[in-house]
Amino acid sequence: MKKILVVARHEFSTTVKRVGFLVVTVGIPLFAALVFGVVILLQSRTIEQEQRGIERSRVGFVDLSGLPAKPHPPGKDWKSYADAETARRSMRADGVEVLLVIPPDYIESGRIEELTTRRPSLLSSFGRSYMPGDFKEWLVSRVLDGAAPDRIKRARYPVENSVVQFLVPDASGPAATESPDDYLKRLITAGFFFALLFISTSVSGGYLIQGMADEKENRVLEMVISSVTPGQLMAGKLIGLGGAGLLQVAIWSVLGVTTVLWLVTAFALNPGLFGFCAIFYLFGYLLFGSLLLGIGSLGSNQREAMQYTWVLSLMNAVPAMLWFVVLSEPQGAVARGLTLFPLTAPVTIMARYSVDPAGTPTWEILATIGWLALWTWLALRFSAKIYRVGLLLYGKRPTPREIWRWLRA
Amino acid sequence: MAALEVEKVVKSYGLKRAADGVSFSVEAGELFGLLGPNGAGKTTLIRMIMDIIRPDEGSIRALGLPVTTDVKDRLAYLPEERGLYQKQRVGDVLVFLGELKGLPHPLARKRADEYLDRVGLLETRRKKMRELSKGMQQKVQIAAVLQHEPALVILDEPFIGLDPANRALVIDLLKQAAARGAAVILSTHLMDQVEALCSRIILIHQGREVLSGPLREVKERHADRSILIETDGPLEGRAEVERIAGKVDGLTRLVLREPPEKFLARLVSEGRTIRHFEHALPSLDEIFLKATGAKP
Repeated sequence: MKKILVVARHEFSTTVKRVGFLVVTVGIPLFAALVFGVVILLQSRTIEQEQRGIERSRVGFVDLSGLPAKPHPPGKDWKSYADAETARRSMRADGVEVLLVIPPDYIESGRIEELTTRRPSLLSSFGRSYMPGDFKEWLVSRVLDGAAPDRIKRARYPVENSVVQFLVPDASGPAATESPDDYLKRLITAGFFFALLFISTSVSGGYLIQGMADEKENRVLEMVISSVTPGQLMAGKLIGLGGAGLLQVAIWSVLGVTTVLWLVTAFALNPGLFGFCAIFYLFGYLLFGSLLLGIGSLGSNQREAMQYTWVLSLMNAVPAMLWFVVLSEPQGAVARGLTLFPLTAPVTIMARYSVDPAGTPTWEILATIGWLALWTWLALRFSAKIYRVGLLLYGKRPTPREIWRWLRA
Repeated sequence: MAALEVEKVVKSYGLKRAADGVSFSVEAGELFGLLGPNGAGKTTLIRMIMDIIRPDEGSIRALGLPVTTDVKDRLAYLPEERGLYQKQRVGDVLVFLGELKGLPHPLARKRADEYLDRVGLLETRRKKMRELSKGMQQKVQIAAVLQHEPALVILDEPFIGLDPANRALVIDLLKQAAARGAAVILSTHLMDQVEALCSRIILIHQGREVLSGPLREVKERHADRSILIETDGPLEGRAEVERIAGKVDGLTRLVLREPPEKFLARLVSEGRTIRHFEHALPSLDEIFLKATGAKP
């Protein structure tokens, strides 16, 4: 164990001290935040200026609806036209920037035609309405002519506050309720661990492959494995580089403070689910990591190692593609099928349990733990065998028959 | 107790036998030569000793024990295809390799400095490995191998790429290790280094032992009727002389048709003045070429 920790510490410290690690971990998110911040600031200022311009501008309208007349909302310079053709011809001369045409079939169609001499800037959204806010209220008051103001208000905002509660089924039928917030927090917990697994296997996997390829290219491995067993080296790398990957994800999470707040809340609300997801995260990471190392060790350099491991990377992305299917039907055939396949099982069972804890059978959870434990053990064992020989392969591509022989040895 | 005992070790790769029943032992404090042409199976044998690959048959014991992780802490191995972490600092690499050999962190740091000093590279400890020349990197590798003061050291071609001064430095370090009680195994093509350093050798060819034993005995076993002589009067045209094989340090080398003792007696009886007479032993190069059937 001591040697595993020595390797782990070495891998961790050399990885986190790399300039590339610091750039990717801190530099890129800060740069992205800066760029997005500037864009959002500029966009909001532009939109605000446009909005102010619209509010100040003279509004023309053609009312062909036949609705009862009402005084215009105060505070704006309104200009009425008899028909659209006249309005179009004279709006520039009248200083009208926005023309609203209320057609004769307005009551049936609800359609309002907007014409404007304004052009949206690149940073504002195209196609949005130039209609002043109080114009709609004015329309409603005309449609409901004679109704009390509170009725007019309710007609405009029929639902301002709704309380949704989910019924949680148990053995005796639906009884308990759950708020959408709580449901969302559970989803976020599972989603976080899914993202964590995806990112950390991708990030740490990249480091694992890169580190091993560097060692092979530097011809240092034979010296190292004269001191430790290939299994110890593999375990140390998985721990050390896994730690570096987690540190990176943690820093990214801290940079996005909201994520952390959500997670803390989710943990406080449901520590059991947190622990559940953490267990399957560990299985997933060990399974992917050991396979990456074992298969990646067959390559003489980083490029070759990536060629060998691309299928694994693809497998890593499968749950992302099917995540929504699993969430919508947690006990469906797709979800159950993905639970049986070891590489997709960790993420799938996390999703199923978080969406439908009562519907996910305990025996299936326990069986999945046992199944994953078996596959993780097999992956570690087989990868260690390939790793032992693969480490000393320089410039020679092994044949499938040779790999099979190593596995049986 | 022998520092290393290799017993009838066999290793095959498909149909090829890289080691075919090889046996030998190395004593503590001994400098031992492991010789053989390219592809003879030396590296396979060393990798089996270091438990990097496993033998198909036979047994290997180092320091009286099977080679496990604990025993590995007292062994050292410098492979032929070697390098160190290029992007890391020299001192950090040595500390890591020392810790892998079981040295506690503070001791690993102390030893790293000590051995860097011994190879004359203490001032480079904060430099990145890639900033060092190839020869300097090789000295760092030697320091990495010796810093935990192992009981058994195996070096595969340790002198390649070293200039004469650095070669002398490495030889000195290896002699010091042997004097401390470590068994040192040298696998090299440089026969002059083996002759200068090793007391015993084993020569393997196509995975099999071709010859082994103390260096002097091996040479005597392979000695022909060659002598080195300095005397007055001519030696050409004598019936006992098969041929004159040239001059060595001012001495004439003769290949005789009769035993050297008989030839010496004959010269004495003739009243010749003999200033030097020596039974010329073959060089290790000659034995190597003869035993492996290789052509010079």
